Amino acid sequence: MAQTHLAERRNQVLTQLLEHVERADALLVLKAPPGSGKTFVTTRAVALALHRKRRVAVAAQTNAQADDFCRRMAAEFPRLPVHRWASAQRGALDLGASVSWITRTADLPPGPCVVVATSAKWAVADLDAHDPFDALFIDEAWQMSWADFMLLGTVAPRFVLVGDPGQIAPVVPIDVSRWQTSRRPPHVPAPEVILRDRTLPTRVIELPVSTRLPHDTCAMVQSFYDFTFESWSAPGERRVLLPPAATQHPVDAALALLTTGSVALMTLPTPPGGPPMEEDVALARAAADVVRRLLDRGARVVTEEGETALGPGDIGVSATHRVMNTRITDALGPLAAKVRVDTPERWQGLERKVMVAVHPLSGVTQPSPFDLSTGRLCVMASRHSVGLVLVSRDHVGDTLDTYLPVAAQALGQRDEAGRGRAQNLSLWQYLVRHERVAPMTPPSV
Amino acid sequence: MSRHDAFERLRAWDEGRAIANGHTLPWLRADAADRLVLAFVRMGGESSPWGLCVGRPDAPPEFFTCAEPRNADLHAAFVLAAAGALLRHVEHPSLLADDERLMLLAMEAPLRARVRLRQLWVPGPSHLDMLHFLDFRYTHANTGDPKVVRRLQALGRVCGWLFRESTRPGQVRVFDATARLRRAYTFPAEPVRQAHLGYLLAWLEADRTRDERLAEARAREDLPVSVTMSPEYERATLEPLVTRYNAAKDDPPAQALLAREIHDALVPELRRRWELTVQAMAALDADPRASNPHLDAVVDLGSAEYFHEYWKNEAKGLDPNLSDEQRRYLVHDPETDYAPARAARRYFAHLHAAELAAGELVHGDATLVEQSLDAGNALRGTIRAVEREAVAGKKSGPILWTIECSADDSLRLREETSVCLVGARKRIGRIRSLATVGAVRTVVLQMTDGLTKRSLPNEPDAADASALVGATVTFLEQAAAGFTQMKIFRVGHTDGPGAWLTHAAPLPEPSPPVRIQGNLLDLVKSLQ
Amino acid sequence: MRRDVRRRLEQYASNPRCEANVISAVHDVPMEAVARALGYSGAVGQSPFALLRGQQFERSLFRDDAVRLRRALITQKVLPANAAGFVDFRMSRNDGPYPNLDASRAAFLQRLAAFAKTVGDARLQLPTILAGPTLMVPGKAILPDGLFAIDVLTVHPQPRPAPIVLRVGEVKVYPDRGGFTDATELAATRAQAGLYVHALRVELQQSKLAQHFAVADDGFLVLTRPSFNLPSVRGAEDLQHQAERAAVMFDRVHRIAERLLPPDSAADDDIPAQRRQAVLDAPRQYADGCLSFCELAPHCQQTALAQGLPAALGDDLARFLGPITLHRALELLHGAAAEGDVEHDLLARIA
Ligand code: SF4
Repeated sequence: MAQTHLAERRNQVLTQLLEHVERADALLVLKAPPGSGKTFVTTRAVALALHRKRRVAVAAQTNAQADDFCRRMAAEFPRLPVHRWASAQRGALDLGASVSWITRTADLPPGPCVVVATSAKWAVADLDAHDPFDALFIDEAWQMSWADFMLLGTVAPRFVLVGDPGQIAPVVPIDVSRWQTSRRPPHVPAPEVILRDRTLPTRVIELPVSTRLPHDTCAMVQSFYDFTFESWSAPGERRVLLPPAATQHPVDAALALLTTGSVALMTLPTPPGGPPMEEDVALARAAADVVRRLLDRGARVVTEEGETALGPGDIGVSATHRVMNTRITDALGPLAAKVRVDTPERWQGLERKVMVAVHPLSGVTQPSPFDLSTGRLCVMASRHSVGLVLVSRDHVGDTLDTYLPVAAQALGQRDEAGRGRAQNLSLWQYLVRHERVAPMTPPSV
Repeated sequence: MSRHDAFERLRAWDEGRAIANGHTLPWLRADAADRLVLAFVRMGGESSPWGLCVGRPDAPPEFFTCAEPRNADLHAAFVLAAAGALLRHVEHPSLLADDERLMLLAMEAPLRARVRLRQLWVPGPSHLDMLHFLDFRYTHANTGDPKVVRRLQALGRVCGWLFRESTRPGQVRVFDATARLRRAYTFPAEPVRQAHLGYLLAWLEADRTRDERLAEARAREDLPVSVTMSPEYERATLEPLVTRYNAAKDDPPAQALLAREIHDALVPELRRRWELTVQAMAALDADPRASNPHLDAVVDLGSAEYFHEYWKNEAKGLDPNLSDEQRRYLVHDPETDYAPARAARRYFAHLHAAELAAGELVHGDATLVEQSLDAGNALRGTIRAVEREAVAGKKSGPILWTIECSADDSLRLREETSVCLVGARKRIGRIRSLATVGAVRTVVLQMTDGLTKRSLPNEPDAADASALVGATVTFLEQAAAGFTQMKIFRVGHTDGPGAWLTHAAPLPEPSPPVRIQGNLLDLVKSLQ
Repeated sequence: MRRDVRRRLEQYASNPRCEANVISAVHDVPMEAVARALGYSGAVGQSPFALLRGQQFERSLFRDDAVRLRRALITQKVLPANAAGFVDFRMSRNDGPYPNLDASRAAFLQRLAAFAKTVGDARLQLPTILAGPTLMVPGKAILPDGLFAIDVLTVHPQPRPAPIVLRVGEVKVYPDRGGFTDATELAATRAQAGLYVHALRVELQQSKLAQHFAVADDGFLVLTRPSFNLPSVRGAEDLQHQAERAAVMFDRVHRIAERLLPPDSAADDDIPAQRRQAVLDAPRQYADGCLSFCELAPHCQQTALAQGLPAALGDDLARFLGPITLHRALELLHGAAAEGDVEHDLLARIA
């Protein structure tokens, strides 16, 4: 049975958000862990605001996200009109009967409305000739720098910032020493700047339930977050079923772990001279073997909805290095046409029933602070709804254990290297402690 | 470390010399009259300079020192004496006649043209730091003779601006000789060792073996080039002199003699640093590579920054009728931009500078194209199809190019990114889709600009010509410089309804209390 | 004792991966002597002016019951506005009342025990600044006695039963330039401060005072205002992971501390050859940072080059080449056939 008692908690949080909208309060930050239904709650808040005759602006970080938001509004609130405001260069898309496509500022509707655009579009919009908006909802707000957020001050007086604080932080391409000790450092993600400033009237809400992640995965990825959340699924409720195999395969031990829990770490021995750093062909083959073996053995998955066969489209693979993704694709052969293989950056926002991920620190024996930043690992470890197989060289635990992080961050900033090591280590140790590690022997070289 | 850097360092070690990095140099050579070379030394443990050496590279430099840098008055007197050289170099408005100043303030262009190629050269990063320290020390100076204080403040501000300018991506105004050598060449040494200008110059010596260059580099390393002098020299030579100087405080003639001795002891230290800088400059000038042919926009941005971020404020600041508040606004804090709008504006200005420099220079240097490919900011492949998309109701739809690339290449570009063609940068497309199957990544571009032969006279084909099929093309991310530039101005709008949050304007009145009635969940459900 | 424990801790923390360095630090075999024996001259000396400035700065902070430091701590909200009280645990050579480290440590622990017993107003009015308290390196990992003084602690009493919070502060004379403050210096300072957090926790544990005190995960740095002799305090410095780092380091160092070396000689500058040899025989790990602190760096760099260790051309190249030597990398660049996954991977990355 799903943890239906959590519905109550989730509803309480949604109610808090709706009450915030109802009261027309000024500032809210909504922290949403993976698969916690941030669009679900945001669409509801937007619908309520429109119902209360407000002018609502919604800012997404990419056009694709803006389109998706409109589709969700159209599907869930088909009676509420939504305007998708886009660049004239983009061809109009059919996002649903209730969504109208506009490209000119002059076409912005008067009165109560919902207008969805990218933050870049809002940033340069000249809204002087229009009624002011009442509230601005910002999706994937952790992807937005404070400086970019400042440009949205012309849109509305009230802000709701929604996002996942554990995801991959945006790249800052220039030296920002000058602004590290600024009161509002322009390069820092907007919600972080807001949360650091205790003088602001900020309300913080954390979504408490992940419908995507299985029960034990929630516990595993918890170290990436500074708040707790639970899984909608009950312990052991979701699992992979594997019919008995006639023959043995080197990945079977890892697959067997998926029948008793949602995560398996499959390790390959680290060669005595050290592991290959990027292009680890044996590891790529091992990742592909996991996919193939799951399908060959006719794996099925059990979820709250019942039992279904696992198809290639239900499986995804992720590695941080392009070249590894190519090697995995090679190793998948014809299956590659159906199994998505991509970098964690491209996996953001997507999910599969089963994921196979190459541990980002596999092959990295002298990690840099960038290697240790956990955004990518967090994304990779949170795309699956039933099972995840992490594949890695077996040195990672030792590497993390002996690594001495250097705290060279600017004054007053968080010790990201130390934090990254601690979080990485905690995830690895979690897997060891819970006996989720299966060496692949002998390796399929 | 990028593979380019790793490969080149290995190659440099293999060849036993510094090897050229890039096909061009990303700055313009300037006449000696436009160049000022500046070097500092400081007393161990102190932040401000103990002495400085300044001058054009083609003439003997001037030396300015102070017997006891921990004495605030002596220090102020010494930097005051040296201030003229810097202020003249930046055409400080106080040095101009009133009418000329007002004319330049109104017209902008003549002044920008005059200083377009002005360059300040220092030996290395610690010397740039000295500019920052002088900014901290004198920008807010406030005690003493008002005339002196004003000049000290002006010195603090010019140092502050030059320091900030040195951190602006792509700038060609402030030259850290060590960094410029490292930009121009790859050296076969650890990055920490490459912080020594003498060490680097040894690797540039002609007609030597690797071992000879290495030995020479190590020998030169023994003589410091940073602002810090060797502790031995301080202990053996300077400390006794300073001790005697301080002990002779009641004997001005003796002090004067000792001050002279201290000066004489600092001069060779300063001279060595200054001369190394001139040597580095000469080595770079003598390099057979040309300057990047696409530097104009970068240099122009530099002179605009000079005018708007420095000179204009200085000129306005000379107005005796300014209020304190107005005057404060003209001054940048040495540490950071505390005001959110200013911080964001400068952040965008630096982003814009980075985008502009990268976007322009890459078209003038094949190495930069390769580095862009390496970093995933460009794509290279073969055109497999050129077609017009059928659009209902339209005679001709957009032109689509289908390009096949290797899936092994890293690629940061995403759908909807605008890209321009290397070699014909006005031909622009937008990425429609990216798909990887096996080892092949297929990119579909919708061509948006530079479509006709007329718009690109040097291109043999229009963008819809089937003759393009089979050609290998490289596309670079089209710098969104214009967009970032727009943000610089827009982020200054402090009057939006959300300014209370975004621009730290006063907090809004709290909304009147609303009594929540009924069940909001049910209400929302009813809207579905 | 030849060099104080603090300096040796700094030396140790500068390259804990190099066993030679660790032996030198732990067993007090000055690296300078080892280098001299090999014919290298240059000691990584310190400027006489800088030394003096450091001492003067620290003294100025604690003069007159630490009025200058207190003001800065209050302004930066490390201490509350009404904070008062100062206890000096420094040694007499640093203007304090104690003749040696042992005495300072005894007084400090005694005072903590007294703090622990306080209740009510007396507890809330505990002195808030403690200068130069002495600690012992956990497990006597730094020989011979492992005693060292830390710069400053602040005391943040709370009503019982909540523990009294102690916060570690580190005084440095280098300038606070905001985001431009020297990152290497900051990293070293935080490593030190983290080490003190850890050592203090162990001390409290061993003195059975742990339940009365909590050592904060964050600390504060006292730097100088650029070009002025005034303190610049930065609070809320994240030390949690640096304290963890210290725990890991001390764990490892025991093995080396337990190693028996021939006894040291009484004469200060005469280091027995066997002791020097023990350092030279130990495995070394040359890295970029060596140049800035270790007298043996020129020797180690040359040796590393001769052996073709990529670190000789930079940590970044070492990371890039992994286990492949410079010699082999060059062979591969010159067209040698790659053997094994690691070499194939390198060629793929560099091609
Ligand atoms: S220089 Fe040599 S002995 Fe010193 S820390 Fe580095 S590797 Fe170890």
